[in-house]
Amino acid sequence: MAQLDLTFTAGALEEDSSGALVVGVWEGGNLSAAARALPCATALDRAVAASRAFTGKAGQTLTVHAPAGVAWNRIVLAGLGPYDGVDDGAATAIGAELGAVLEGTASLDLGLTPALAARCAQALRLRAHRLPDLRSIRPADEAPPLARVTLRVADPRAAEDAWAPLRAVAEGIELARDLVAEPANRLTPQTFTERARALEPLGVAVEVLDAKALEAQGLHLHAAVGRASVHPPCLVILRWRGGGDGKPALLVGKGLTFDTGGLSIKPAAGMEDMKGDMGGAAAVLGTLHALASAKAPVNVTGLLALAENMPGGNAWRPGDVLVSHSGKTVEVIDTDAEGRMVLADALSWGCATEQPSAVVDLATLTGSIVVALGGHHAGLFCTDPDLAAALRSAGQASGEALWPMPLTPAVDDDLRSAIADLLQCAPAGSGAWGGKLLPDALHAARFLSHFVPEGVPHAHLDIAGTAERKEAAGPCPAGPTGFGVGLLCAWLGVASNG
Amino acid sequence: MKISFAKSALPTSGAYVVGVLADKTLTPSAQAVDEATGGALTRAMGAARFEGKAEQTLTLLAPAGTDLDKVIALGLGEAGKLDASAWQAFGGSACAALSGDKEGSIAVDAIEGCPLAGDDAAANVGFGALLRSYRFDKYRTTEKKDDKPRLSKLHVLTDASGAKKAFGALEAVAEGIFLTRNLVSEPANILGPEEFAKECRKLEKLGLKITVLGEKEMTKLGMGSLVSVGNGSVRESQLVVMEWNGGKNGDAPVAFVGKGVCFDSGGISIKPAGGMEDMKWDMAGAGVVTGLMKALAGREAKVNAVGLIGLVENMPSGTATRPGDVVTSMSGQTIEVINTDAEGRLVLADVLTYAQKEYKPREIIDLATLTGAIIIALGSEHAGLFSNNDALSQAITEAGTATGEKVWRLPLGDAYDKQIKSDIADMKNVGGREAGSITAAQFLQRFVKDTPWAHIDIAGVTWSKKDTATVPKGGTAFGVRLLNALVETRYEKG
Repeated sequence: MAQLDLTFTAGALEEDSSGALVVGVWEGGNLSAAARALPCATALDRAVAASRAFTGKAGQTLTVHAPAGVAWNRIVLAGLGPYDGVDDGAATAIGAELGAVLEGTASLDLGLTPALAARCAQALRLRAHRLPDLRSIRPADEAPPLARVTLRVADPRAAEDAWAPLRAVAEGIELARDLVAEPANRLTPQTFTERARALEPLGVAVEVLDAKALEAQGLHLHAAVGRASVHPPCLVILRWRGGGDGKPALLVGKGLTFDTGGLSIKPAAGMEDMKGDMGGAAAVLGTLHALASAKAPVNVTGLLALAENMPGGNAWRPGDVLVSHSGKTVEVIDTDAEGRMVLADALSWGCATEQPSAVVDLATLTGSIVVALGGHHAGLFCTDPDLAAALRSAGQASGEALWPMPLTPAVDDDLRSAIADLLQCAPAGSGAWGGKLLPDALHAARFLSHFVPEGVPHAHLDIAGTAERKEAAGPCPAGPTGFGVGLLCAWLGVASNG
Repeated sequence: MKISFAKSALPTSGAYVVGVLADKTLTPSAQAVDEATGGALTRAMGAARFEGKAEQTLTLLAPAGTDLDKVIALGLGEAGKLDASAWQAFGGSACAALSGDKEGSIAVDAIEGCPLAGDDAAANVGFGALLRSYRFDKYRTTEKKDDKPRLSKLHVLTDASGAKKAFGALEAVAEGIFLTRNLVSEPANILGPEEFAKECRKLEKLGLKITVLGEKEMTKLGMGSLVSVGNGSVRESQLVVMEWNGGKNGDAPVAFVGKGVCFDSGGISIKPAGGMEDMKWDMAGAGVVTGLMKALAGREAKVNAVGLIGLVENMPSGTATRPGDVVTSMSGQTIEVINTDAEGRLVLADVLTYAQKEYKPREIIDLATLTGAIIIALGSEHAGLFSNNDALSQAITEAGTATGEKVWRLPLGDAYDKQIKSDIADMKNVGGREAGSITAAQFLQRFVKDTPWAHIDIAGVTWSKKDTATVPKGGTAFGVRLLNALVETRYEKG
């Protein structure tokens, strides 16, 4: 995957007959100073007047091809919004739209401050990001990907400084997206582990508990989930210690590299999406990558609970009773509710081993959260008011919105087992309206909370609705979103707004 | 069941309920029983592992040293948590424990350090007992007498002298709750739109002004959305308006709007057979509004309130609305009907428009058993709350916490609204599986102009499969207590 080459310069932009020049237009249609100075300014004025859709709002663009009087093969007019009113949000909207429309080589002369130019660059880069391309044949008329972008700013050093942490976060998000896009025959627990080991040169300590170690250390829920696959389960531990002696924050990600549902096998339609059932683990790895790249002054441990859930002669079964790492026994109801099993052990092991100050887990956990909140908010389950508030505001700052959901003992009745400490989920048919309707996201969240020791602030993020999106929006193209990296980085103080 | 109030004293006959606080701390009444019985209560508590946890019970039959038939020790839990809901639960549990006795007494003692005491505590005990005594058994004609609850007289024993008066207002609320439970429990062959409207008319004698519109009037008003839902049924759709003017003359009323689908087969988009019988209670929103209006009138609330309910039956037939049909609402907006089983919002749309046009309310709150998605989202502990106004939303949330009828707010937003865009009309009536309750609320919001508005999706909380202290299984009337409390705190004192 070729990296986008992005540079800041103070000098005049060299005219490039194979590239595009991007200049700004204020809302209402007035050309910015840089646009006004071009020999083709009159033609640009006419183009703006002729377009009904383009009004100069931030996030709009208008492309003028080969205007007379300049060598550029295209001038892209970028709406800047109200005169002199560009803020973080507008810079993000401008960058995102440019990321969508630009190709090949482009030079930007938007008159932005260094901080806003960096913000714009991040959105541009994220929107222009291309996923792993496994095609062997490409159409001849396909637009070339955006390869080189030059941003003109008054103070390139200041822009570079502002850009460094934002680039780190962008790289983390891109890593998470790429992992989600990878098919499960290429991304197994083992190859995922190799991707994690690639963080070692950045200063992240990587440790792996393989299937044998999982059993030996009592993570029997996790081990059971991956048992029937030829790609055995493992727990990857990533430790970034940039912040002295303080207790680390613990991030736990669900990493089902493929989820068939196991013996409770899923219907065929849509099963291909289950290659993305490791979105939580991808977000954790992306976050660790960003923290290490930015040399963030924090202590964080990330856990990737990796497994492949397959049916087989050796598979775990509904009705099985398993002993978790915490010692609590769990009666299995549905082998397609496997995410909470691997997370339960990872949470318990992580809390015991790392003594964390706070725990956040991320998982594409339930269809129920998609029915509840759709694709525009992830579910936030957290009974610690400070942690909940901090995560919500980090979500707002990063454009990864969370919505609080109830986490109360009221559903414990639904998880009562006749022979074990806990049911893994409520049996089908036990819900309302003919038994079909079950609040599974609530059940799952409550289940997980039984594996976090009391007194440790814990938040569970159900990202099943937000890990991928059907349509592009803002800095996010259609497909995997990398949801979680931006908000965790903001929470941990890297590249947060303001 | 008749509830009376009398002075505290150890009764000389019948069944007697006394409270025990957490960690086996005896209340004065329990102490008196323990002394009269020579310590039998204390010994029994030890033997039965009775701790005094809320709702825990321990029965002593014909205890020596008294002439009582039985003494029931009932847990009160921690004194610091004895608020209105806890006292109600105490009364409700006492009522359940006494169901086999003809006559019983409950002692309500003055307890130090509890948030609610005196008249209000005793009144709430009576209220809780009354709520628990409800039973919908009119169609059980062969049930043996022994199987029916016998309790007909319950005495609340207290030294608080104003308890009876305080109970009066709560009794009016209970009357409203019972009306709601009756309406929700009635099968659909008995209760159709016209029968429901007749029940509403009976409230005229409490001082409510009742107006009923039939299909002809509604069609004339342009309510093409509401009327389309009843097209498949032989029963005529109705719009009932209930006005209570207990506030200042000329003050804008608060409007309560209820979905009243007396039976919802799903129409042409027919539901699966399993569980369809539950759809007799798809009129619970309307049932709650009706019970609430009765409660407000019964306790002569100092508020101007208007209740509006859209009553229809959704049936498949040759005249039914089809998927793909486009209907025009009273607001002028057109709706493409994609799924005839998303009919509640079609009813509410026109009632919301009518409420705003005719009554210019200060705020609107609608209730509806609107979506199955809300059950998948929130289960049965909370109803879903959607609002365009943070202050109203906050007030409803607080009223819910105070009454034990809890709500949980869910988001609204343009991104969700896009899901109900139609290719040929202003909107379509479903937005897909994702965020199903939110898109339903977005649909309703398109029919609300600038008025502060809240929508409460009660599909998960309307019917319960198990008894709780004050709500026997079946129709819960969720919403009456909540909104009655909201009226008290937000509109009567405002």
